Amino acid sequence: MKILHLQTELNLACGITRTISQIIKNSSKEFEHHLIALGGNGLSRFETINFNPKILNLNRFSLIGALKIYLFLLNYCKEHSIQIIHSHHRYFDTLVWFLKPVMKIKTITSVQSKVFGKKVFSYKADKLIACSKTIKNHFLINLNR
Amino acid sequence: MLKTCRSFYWGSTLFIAPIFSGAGMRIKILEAASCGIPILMTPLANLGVNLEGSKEAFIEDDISGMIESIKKNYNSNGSDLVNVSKSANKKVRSIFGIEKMNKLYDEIFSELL
Repeated sequence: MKILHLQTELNLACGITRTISQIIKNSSKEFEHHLIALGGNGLSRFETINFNPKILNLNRFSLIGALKIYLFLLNYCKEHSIQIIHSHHRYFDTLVWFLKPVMKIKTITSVQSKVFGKKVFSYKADKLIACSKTIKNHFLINLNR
Repeated sequence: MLKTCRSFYWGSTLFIAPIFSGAGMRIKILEAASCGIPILMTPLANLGVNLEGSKEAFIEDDISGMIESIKKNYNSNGSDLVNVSKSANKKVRSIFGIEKMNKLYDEIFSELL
């Protein structure tokens, strides 16, 4: 089973980066993990577990940058026969939502924080993982998910 | 560049998290608790972690409350600090432990296909 993790930045002082590295390091051998990020200073976390994330030096805030990222993801998923995309950031949750109409893929998004704006474009994954009961309750009350 | 904060956690008496803005899971709180350091924080820092005030962490609404808490603990025999850190450590390991997290993720990945 092939799983692609997506995160905006991989930083040393970032809990999400740490969580991703732990998932890759400790999950069942039946899963083949891939990781794409847009930069960060925490790549050494992955060197220690002999894992090479793919880093895209693209500007996610520009429309052209977002389009390039989208196309790269589309090609990457097809090329590597990715079955599940796990987004660790809302940005990728939205981007991956636009991938779903053009390819058969299951999606997961981990949610670490309370969000209030951009509800229409947010958290469209097949499965949402709230990091705590507080966040879960926030979703149930404010986003009706 | 500093690759890990663990040595700072282990060498500290108290972890102070005066967080008054932002949202999200405070992994730094989990890390401090898992290193066995007693935590003094604001309610916002406790978001998602849900440690119990007085029993598992020292929780104060503002800076003046935090200063008072530091003074109180500094002048105590330290038993509160030890008890609070042990309780927080136990709770965090039982709820947020790596084994538990990986088991859950594996189940979710398998469920999806």
